[in-house]
Amino acid sequence: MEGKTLTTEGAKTAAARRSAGLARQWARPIRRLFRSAWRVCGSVRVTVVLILVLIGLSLVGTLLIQVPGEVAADRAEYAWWLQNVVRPKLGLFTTPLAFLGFFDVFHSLWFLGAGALLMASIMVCSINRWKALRSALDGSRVKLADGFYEGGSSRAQFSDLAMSAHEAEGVTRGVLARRRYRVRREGGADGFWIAADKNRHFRLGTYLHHGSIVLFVLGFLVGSYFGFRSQSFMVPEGSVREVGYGSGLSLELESFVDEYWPEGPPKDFRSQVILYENGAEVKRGVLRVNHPMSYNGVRFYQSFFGQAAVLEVRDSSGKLLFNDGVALGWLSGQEPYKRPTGMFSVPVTGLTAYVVGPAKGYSDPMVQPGQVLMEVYSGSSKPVAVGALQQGVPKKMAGLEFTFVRERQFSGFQVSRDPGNALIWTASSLFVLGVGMVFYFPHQQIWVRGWTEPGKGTRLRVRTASGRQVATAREFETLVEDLDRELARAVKKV
Amino acid sequence: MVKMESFFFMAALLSTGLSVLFYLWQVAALRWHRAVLVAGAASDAASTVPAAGYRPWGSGRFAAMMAVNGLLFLSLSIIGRGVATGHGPFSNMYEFSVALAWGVIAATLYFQWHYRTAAVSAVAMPVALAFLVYAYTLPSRPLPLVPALQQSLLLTLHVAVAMIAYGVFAIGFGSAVLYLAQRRGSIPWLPSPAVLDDMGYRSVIIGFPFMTLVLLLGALWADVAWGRYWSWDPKETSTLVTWLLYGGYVHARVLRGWRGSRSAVLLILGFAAVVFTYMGNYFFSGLHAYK
Repeated sequence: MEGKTLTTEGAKTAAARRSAGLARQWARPIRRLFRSAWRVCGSVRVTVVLILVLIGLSLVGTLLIQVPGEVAADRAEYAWWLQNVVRPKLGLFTTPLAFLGFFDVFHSLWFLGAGALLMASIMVCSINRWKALRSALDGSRVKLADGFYEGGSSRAQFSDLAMSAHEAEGVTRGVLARRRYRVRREGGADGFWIAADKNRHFRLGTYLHHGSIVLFVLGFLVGSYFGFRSQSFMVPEGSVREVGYGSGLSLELESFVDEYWPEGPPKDFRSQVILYENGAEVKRGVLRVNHPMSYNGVRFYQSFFGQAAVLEVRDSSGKLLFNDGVALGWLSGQEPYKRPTGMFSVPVTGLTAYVVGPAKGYSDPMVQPGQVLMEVYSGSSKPVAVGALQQGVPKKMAGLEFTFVRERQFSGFQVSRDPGNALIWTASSLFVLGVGMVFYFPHQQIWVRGWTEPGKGTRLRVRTASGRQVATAREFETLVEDLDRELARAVKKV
Repeated sequence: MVKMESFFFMAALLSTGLSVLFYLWQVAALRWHRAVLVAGAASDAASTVPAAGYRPWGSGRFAAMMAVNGLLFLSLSIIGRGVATGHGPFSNMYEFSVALAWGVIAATLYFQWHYRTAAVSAVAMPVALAFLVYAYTLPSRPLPLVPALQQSLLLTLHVAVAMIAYGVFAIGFGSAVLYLAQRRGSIPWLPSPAVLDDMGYRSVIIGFPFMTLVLLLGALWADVAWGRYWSWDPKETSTLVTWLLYGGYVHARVLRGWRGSRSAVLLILGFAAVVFTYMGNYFFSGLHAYK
């Protein structure tokens, strides 16, 4: 028994050893891979290339025709769109460009891949930068070799000052303190050393705006995975429509008004609406462009409008099957006769009816003003009945009685729930804050070395950090002027 | 009010035109002066630097005065129009071009004062003039606002920050162009390459945060008006590209120490992107098509 236990234990340890060996065997290449990935991501050159790739792809997306969102979601519709919209324009280029995903650039593998790599690179660069930043926050060494004071992008020298090194140090520290520098000093028999800096904490702004880019992406992802967006939620006047997406909301449009300026352009679009949640009224109000309505994180935007038709359908016994508005929300037919079209399903019968209004701006040979054309389908692509309906005149079609009761308008809304929105605006604020911190409060560093030269007086050497910085040069100029004035005053007093 | 506005506009156009003439005249004078200097240097080998008391660009007072005039008249024109229409200059290309010209002239004067050189002004002012001449060709009659544009506060801010950003970037463009001409420091009547490089950098330091605000305010408005902060609308995209170019400039400079010609080329590309974005309404339709 005991032996057996031992053997299982032995087997266990052997297995553990084997897996440990395996881990060891793999650890090194994995570590090496990780390290080179880290190096690639941390390289500024790679970052610049990624940004250039994103710029190039954005230009493609700007200049090349892009597939509308609703079409892109449906393979068949996309193919149709390529064939009928793109091919006539681009001909032979269509297939290779489509293969590259260039008609939906912003959702293509290229764009998402480059974007993801850019995120990684921003994070790695930020982490890599921490070391330099921490030493900047701690402050440099105070006492440096004499040669150091001959460097820097700007420097100045004061010599033959008729005062002691100690007095000169007092004046210098006074000037620096008044300009709100943090002053650290060391002194000795051979003079003094000062390392001063200000705005060092503003350098942390770099984490705010670089971090906010990651937040932007996060906000975008949260919005697209946990939210919804309907671009074409249409409600005819007098009708109620469910929002869907599991929101339990429905919207009733009481009336819609479109107003125009005397010169012609539109002035106002107003929808008077009532919002229901699970059938109970929760909100009512007016929806206008720039004045959305919000309820429980779901927002409604006035977006478009158009013609609607109120229709009645009765079966042969005269029983009312359908009585509602139908939004003629899309266009069908060939140029120039683009006709507003809508559809509805007739309850119980399994029939689908298309409603076509007259084309705008042309005298339409097919549909007269005051009429709608009905096409009734039952499954197949051939209509079972087609006929024009005169307003107020019932017509028998497909065994049913259709009446075009009256013309109304529908209002189109964009409905969205975007839980990522708060993240986006937080990121925006952080970004502005971070950029403001880094750009307008540049980190300034000053080093001063002062000593007394026997028989000559005191000498001061002042320098800035290296790397020519506009703000540094200007700050330094005025600092030196201050110092010059104060030293002269002190000399006079002495 | 509208009549007054067009009077102010014409006055601004004239002043700016004169200012450009003066600047160009000054360039010609300086070149001629250099010829004299070089001739003088032949006899007196000691001096190839301008003689004491000679202030290159110091005499461009007329040019600057005319530019100030132009700025004043443009301000009056924008304010007058704002009072008449009740909104900022964002409703059509005419208004936006005037605003842009204002930004360029203001930035020109600021940089000229700050750096005490008018060299870059001689490149930037023609850009302002071009915007104004272009505005002159456009229908200027104020049209009432379509519903989406009836968001005065956000849009006025959006355009105001764009005005500053683009104006300052025009200076970056001017200094980059001059830098490329002057990169060996061989033109004595131009500022040194280091100063030109500096001006370019400063223009981005000032302009980039404003450019960021252009994007964010635009996104905020889009969120209020259409319910989405970003829709890859062509003008949005090309603004983003512009922003990325200037962002690239900052990173290349701070992290990789890019100076001189390479960053000058980036500044020129950046400004090309600005002009492309501005003219973009004509290349593509979209939310910014003012229709």
